[in-house]
Amino acid sequence: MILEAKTISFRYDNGNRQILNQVSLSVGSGERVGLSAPSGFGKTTFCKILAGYERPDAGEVLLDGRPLGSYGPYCPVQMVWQHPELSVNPRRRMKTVLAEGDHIPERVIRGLGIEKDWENRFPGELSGGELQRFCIARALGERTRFLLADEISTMLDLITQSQIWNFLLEETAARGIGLLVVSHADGLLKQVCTRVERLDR
Amino acid sequence: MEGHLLEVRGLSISFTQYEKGLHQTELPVIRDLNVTVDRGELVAVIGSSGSGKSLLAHAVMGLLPYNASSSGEMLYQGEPLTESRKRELRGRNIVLVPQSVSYLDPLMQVGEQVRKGKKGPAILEKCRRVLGSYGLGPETEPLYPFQLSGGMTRRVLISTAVMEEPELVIADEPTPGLHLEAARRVLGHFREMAEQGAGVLLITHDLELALQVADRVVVLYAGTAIEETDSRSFSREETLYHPYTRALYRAMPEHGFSSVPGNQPYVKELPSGCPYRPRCERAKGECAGAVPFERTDRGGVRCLRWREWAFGQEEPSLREEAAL
Amino acid sequence: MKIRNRRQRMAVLMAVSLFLLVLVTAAGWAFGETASATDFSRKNLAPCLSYPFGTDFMGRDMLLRTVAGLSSSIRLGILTAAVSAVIAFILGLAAAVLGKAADGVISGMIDLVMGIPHILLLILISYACGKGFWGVVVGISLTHWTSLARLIRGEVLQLKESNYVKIAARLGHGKLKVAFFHMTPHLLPQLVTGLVLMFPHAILHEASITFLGFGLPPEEPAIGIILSESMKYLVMGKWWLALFPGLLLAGVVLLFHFLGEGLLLLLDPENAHR
Repeated sequence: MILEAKTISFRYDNGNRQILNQVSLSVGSGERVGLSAPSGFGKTTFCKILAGYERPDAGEVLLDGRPLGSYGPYCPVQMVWQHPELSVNPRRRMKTVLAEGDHIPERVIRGLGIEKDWENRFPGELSGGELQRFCIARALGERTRFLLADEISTMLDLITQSQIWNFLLEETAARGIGLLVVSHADGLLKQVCTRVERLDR
Repeated sequence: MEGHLLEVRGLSISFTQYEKGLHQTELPVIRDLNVTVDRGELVAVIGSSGSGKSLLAHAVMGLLPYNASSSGEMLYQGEPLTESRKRELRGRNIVLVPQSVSYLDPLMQVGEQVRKGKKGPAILEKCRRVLGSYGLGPETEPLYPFQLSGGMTRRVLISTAVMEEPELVIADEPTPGLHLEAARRVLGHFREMAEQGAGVLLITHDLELALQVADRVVVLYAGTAIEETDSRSFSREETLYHPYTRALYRAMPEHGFSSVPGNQPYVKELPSGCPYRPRCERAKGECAGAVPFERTDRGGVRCLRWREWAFGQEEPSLREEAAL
Repeated sequence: MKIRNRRQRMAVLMAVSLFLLVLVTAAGWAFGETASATDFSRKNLAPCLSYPFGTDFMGRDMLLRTVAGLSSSIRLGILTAAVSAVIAFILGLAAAVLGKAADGVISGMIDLVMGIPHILLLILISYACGKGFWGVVVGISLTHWTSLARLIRGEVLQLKESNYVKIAARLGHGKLKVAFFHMTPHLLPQLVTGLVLMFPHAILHEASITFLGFGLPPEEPAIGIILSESMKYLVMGKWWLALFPGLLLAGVVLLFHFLGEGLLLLLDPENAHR
């Protein structure tokens, strides 16, 4: 499969500042593309458009030539956000996060180092690194074909970061999931990605 | 002798929290922490997110929330740092560069915040100079906080802090959300403050960035300091003495990107003795007992077997027995 | 039991409040008949040992009458507050989830009901429904849901913007499921405390429209009736007719307030450290 962003432009309603201007990118299954761009480029917004959270003002997102919306309610392009503590409901136990995903295999849950006992806790009782593992697991449901990782390990310590990435490399390779990695850390991109795209305005 | 600029000895902080319904529990968030900062020195305290390291900053500033209790000693220029002395010194001699942008008043213009409401040509001039030294021109003064980018906000927070020419600067996670270049620039400013003679305590989760500016590094694990060392020790694995610090070194993308299994223990379920014991391949029975923080040639370490790392495979105790 | 912390103190206070309220309600129910029994041999007695609250011009025991009045007030309060809360919950949720048009209509209704003076609307509805018990119930239910609905709508709008709700949508979960699983856990504490804190309002409004003559019929043992009747006799120095029922009404309102505040403390996870 191939995920394509074609000449995407975007600006927020409230400001007149152009966030994205005619940006194009394509990621194939089994590819791991790093995305590096200057600050204020709108990398998060770009990911949100690719995963169907926002509609671009111009341009389109195609998955195997078909628009994202035609794939049914479950979006095959899933995004993992930078702040795990905002991505889970503070009033619900962690096991509901896993249940929310699309049949998350036990292999993924254990592979990410999620301990059984965490599943009964509330988000406030876990650290950022622990929460992020749940968020990644949730995004790796059966129907996921592409995973967008928006600065997913910036807030984590080095060991957690390498644990998570080593697992993700193995899992995405085994399932042929395409990966888009947004990170400011060049060392990480070099280590993880098959190619790195540098975008400029 | 006057002593260190700041010396924290055996600091422990715990929270009381309601667990379920009506029962309170104590959460020991920070345990037996030692840190010193001298003039002209930048000391980085490294801990993972949620490890409660911000509490260290709040304890020094006297800003702990009311449900936290702390024990241990804090000395400032060799004299005990009591709550009343904290009140006297903070904002002038000791300043905090807070983690969150929400510390700025959203309804006050930048210039006024930096001047803290004071007026007069001398203050105006100084404000302009301070902002200018962080790359913020006079045009930023009439802006409101929501009009600033992430990096500009940090620089405004720093400007607010250095207006008073402090002796000790405590920076609590100043870099998250910043692009690498912006983060480097912000940390560079803290380095400059140290060069100009202030003591800087940098609290962060980002070891790689901290190593670029810090003189010394204190590594936290599960709320306690497991190693204090010279930043240069991180250039080789052999000069790091704690197994966790070595694991951190090997987890860096450029040093192999390898990981050790397991997670930092939850404060409610700490193992006895060394908190790293369950993940440590070298752990022995006695690691479950008390593990003191020992001085080393590079700082200090909380590991019973650090001499093996430092001086080869032979255990010092065995060597001593052989000598007898 | 040894009381160790603020929460346990609050729990004890709540238990005592609940006990007193249940006691008053049950007693009023049980003595409803005797409360309206007249006995002209004991007219206009000042408070004494056998009649601690005194008696009125028809020789009715004011203690029994007051308890019976409070009891009917509490039952009416519970009914109306529950109906209002359900209206508030459904409309608040619908306004925020159904889309812009529905939101406009519901917000407009909230503004309309809030814009008309409370007591005036209450009197109009109660009068239109033929006064009496059901008139008061419909009147209070239809006027008291607005502020809670607005609160819930605001909360839902905020929740809609949260990342986890957006993520749930991309994981293919429908709006109803998201509303149920992600929003209700946040709204339930609001709803329960809103409900309990609505009781005192409902009770006071019931008493005031009854006092004004647009509420319960005079033969009912209602606090509003007692107070309005007593007005005539106050100038004649019969102070006990108004003082004790008034104080007890204030007391009941206060007990409900304690219950609501306690629930707020215990249910809201943001108060975990308090």
